[in-house]
Amino acid sequence: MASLVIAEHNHAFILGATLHTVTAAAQCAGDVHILVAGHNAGPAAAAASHIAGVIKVIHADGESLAHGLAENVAQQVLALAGNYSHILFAATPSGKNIAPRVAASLDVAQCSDITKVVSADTFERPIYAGSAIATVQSSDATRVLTVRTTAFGAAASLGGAAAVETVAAVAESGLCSWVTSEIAKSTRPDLTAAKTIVSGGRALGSAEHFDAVLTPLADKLGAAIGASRAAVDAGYAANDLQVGQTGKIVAPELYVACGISGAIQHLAGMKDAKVIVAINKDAEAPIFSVADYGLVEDLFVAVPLWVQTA
Amino acid sequence: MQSYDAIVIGAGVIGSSVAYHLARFGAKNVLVLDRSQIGSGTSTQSSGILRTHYSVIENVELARQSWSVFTDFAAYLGDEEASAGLVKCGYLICAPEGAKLDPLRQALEGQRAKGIRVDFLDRGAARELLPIAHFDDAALIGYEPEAGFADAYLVATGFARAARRNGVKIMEGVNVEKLLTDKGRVVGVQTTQGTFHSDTVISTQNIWAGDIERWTGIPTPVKAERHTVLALEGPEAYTFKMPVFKDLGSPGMLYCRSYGGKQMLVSEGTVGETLAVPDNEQGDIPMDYVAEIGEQVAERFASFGEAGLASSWTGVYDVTPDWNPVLGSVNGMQGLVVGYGFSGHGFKLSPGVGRVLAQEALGMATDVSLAPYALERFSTGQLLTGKYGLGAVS
Amino acid sequence: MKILVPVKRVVDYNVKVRVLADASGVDTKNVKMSMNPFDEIAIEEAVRLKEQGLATEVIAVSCGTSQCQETLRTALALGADRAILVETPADADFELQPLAVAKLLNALVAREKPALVILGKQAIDDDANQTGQMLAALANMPQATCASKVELADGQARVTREVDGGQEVLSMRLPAVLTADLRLNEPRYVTLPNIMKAKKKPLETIKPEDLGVDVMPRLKTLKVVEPAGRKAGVKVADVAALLDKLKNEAKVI
Repeated sequence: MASLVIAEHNHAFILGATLHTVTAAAQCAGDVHILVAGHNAGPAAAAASHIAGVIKVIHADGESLAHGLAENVAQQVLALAGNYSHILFAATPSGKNIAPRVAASLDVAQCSDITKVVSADTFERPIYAGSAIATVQSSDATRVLTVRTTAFGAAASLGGAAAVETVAAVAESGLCSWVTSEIAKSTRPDLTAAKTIVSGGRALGSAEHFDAVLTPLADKLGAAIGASRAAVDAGYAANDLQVGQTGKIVAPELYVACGISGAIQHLAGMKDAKVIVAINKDAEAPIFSVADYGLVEDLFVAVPLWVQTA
Repeated sequence: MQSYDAIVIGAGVIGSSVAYHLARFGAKNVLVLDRSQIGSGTSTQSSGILRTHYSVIENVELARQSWSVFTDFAAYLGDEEASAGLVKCGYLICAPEGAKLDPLRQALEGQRAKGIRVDFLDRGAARELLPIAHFDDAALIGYEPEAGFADAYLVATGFARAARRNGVKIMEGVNVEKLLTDKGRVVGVQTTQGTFHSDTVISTQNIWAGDIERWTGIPTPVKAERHTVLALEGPEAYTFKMPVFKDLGSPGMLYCRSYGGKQMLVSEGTVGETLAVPDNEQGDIPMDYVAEIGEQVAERFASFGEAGLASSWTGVYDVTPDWNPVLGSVNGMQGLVVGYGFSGHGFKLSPGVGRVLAQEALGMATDVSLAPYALERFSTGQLLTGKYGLGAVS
Repeated sequence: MKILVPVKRVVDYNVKVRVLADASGVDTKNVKMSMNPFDEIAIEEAVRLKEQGLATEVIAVSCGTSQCQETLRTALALGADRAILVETPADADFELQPLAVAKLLNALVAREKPALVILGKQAIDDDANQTGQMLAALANMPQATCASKVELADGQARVTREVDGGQEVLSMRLPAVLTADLRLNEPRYVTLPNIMKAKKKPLETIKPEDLGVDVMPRLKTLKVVEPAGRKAGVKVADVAALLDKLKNEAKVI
């Protein structure tokens, strides 16, 4: 039994998500191999060979693999799939894009976003946006998995000494071609996908204040801006910024609630944030009952001070 | 041993109002217990309508007293940050020729007799207030300017915060398992977080008031009834300046108000879906039902025939046989005071009800007589039945 | 040029799901159900393409119990022309999983020959994010997941999709599979007249056997539990203390 990890890389480096996926792979099956499928990706393959716990790197190199197109990468994986009991991808946009193609082609089920490996055929995963955790058992001979990287530690990136085996890159599928990429967006991240959200409530007092006070903090943190229902109703923020039961459900790494009281309907929209910060001058505000860090202070003082602090 | 001057079960808008008033009237050691979070039961589902119009005259006085609190909520609580989210847009009600006409006239006259300003409008004047509607079928149109809508959750938390500032202790996430009694007297409550003692317990448990019957054997004629509310986006705006509107001519006795932007909040004012078990979770809303309400809305608001369904949700009422609450002390259980069965119109009475229940619990004279609201009325037959038929304008 | 849009009936996103006491699953008996929000976006995109004259027919399809008819009716009210229900047993022990759905859709693709299949990127109940990609593999079609913009011209689709840290643009020949992300569009509201019109549009019911597909699940759910609760938080004295915690303790800035 061996696990194959499909590396997340940019041809020059191995990306961090891969290290967490390796940890999960080691828990699935003793021998961990990594596939680096890229173009001029020698450096990435070499880096992969140093990851602790990896005993073999398979390096497929060709133009067809230059842009990570799902149609081509999936074919590359399928060429090797017969040797493995477990095939793992990081649950990143790329991993989620490719993994199901592999699973369907092998006529096996996929287990998405696993948070724990219970045994070789049994995994835990979140459902209903994390409101429940399911333990599922696979009856297929090959298990295709995507791994929630925050649920597993990172394998050490140095210490390993795996052999690197070169294989032929698959031919271009001809189904799809890459046109262009626009990375490092200058616009604000989408509210539902943002890693950080700065959110404002009725206490901001006006649309002008809402923008003037929150925008600098959002800029500083690279954050999306959200609003409570009360702020939207009062006209301080547009409808599509509303976080909450009748707005958007978000689960960022960091949620900063400024002048938000914490009505049930709002909490329903952000309770799954990893870290919640509340800034409110009312010590009784319900938001403090869910906040990891609560600052009882006037937001008109605290937020600008935060922005100014290096 | 944890002993209190009074224990309130339920921190919805009624319970938090009771708690605030207990402290305001001098009670020093008050405990409030809620199974979940303040206001998270049915208060949060309220459409927030405020009016003094009732066909049951006893309610008019409670409503009027409550209105004066809503219009100056921050000053009443002594908390400049408090807000009821009040939109004072007035309340318009009309009836066509038929069974509802006389009851409407009597109710309006009744309000006037109590010194409440009520205008009788002709169709043109009504159209000026609510230009998106027609009143071609209206035989009588009443308008009270001192009315509108507000935010029940804000009010519940406002009362709760003010109560806490006055020394009241509120515990959330606590389930009351049993009422502790001794020879017909209340001595306390047993909960999932321990036992608390008091010889005064006030139950404001809304759809969960059936617990009282389980604990004491005293009948609690209340059931949970689920109602659907729609937010329709019109081609024309229903602005905050336009009044809340009650259409006694529509089959479902619709009520509607502005929901912000171009949206109208609308719901039927008749009997809803009875739930076997008290539950305030969202219920299914079939498309056929939406179409049916839509037809009724389009009858009155022509342009809304093309309206889009922006959102929809359900809210639950605690309904009694006459659609009015049971208020006051309970015969056969000394020290137990109840306030349940608001049947969908509790929010607008919450300040007044909080006052009288607190007064009753403290042995003070009540601002309004509680006799008409006694549980006994269901056996003596002196029901507070509304003149429009079953529904929340009672 | 037909567009096929699969839609799923899921627990409404407003509902706070409750885990059953016997840990067998989540309580879906009396809860409010709605169309998966991403699928509404998929229908909206298909209807817009039709309104632009780039498609001739939008076909909504749902796989599940007969109650899915209400979801299909919503799709018809949003502008789909006809609907297909692939009816599966209403059995508490039977779970229709993405691989099976992909196979059913593959059979329908062979039957209807659409130029585009647009799905929501994931369903908010199982959060699997697989069906579109699986269908694309089975049907040997190109795919563009998490699409935020779609342009059709000369039998090709030019799709902008969300990737880590930005966007990329792909060009693919039709037929193709797209999955919709939030940014793709803002769905219209269902209008009252369209709710009535939807009742008259064709709705066909077929069974998996009619399509020759084995829908038996491959993953067995052993148990479902609630996640660990949030730990109690702390109050910080000032902004400096807050930033220290965020940087050194929580490590989120």
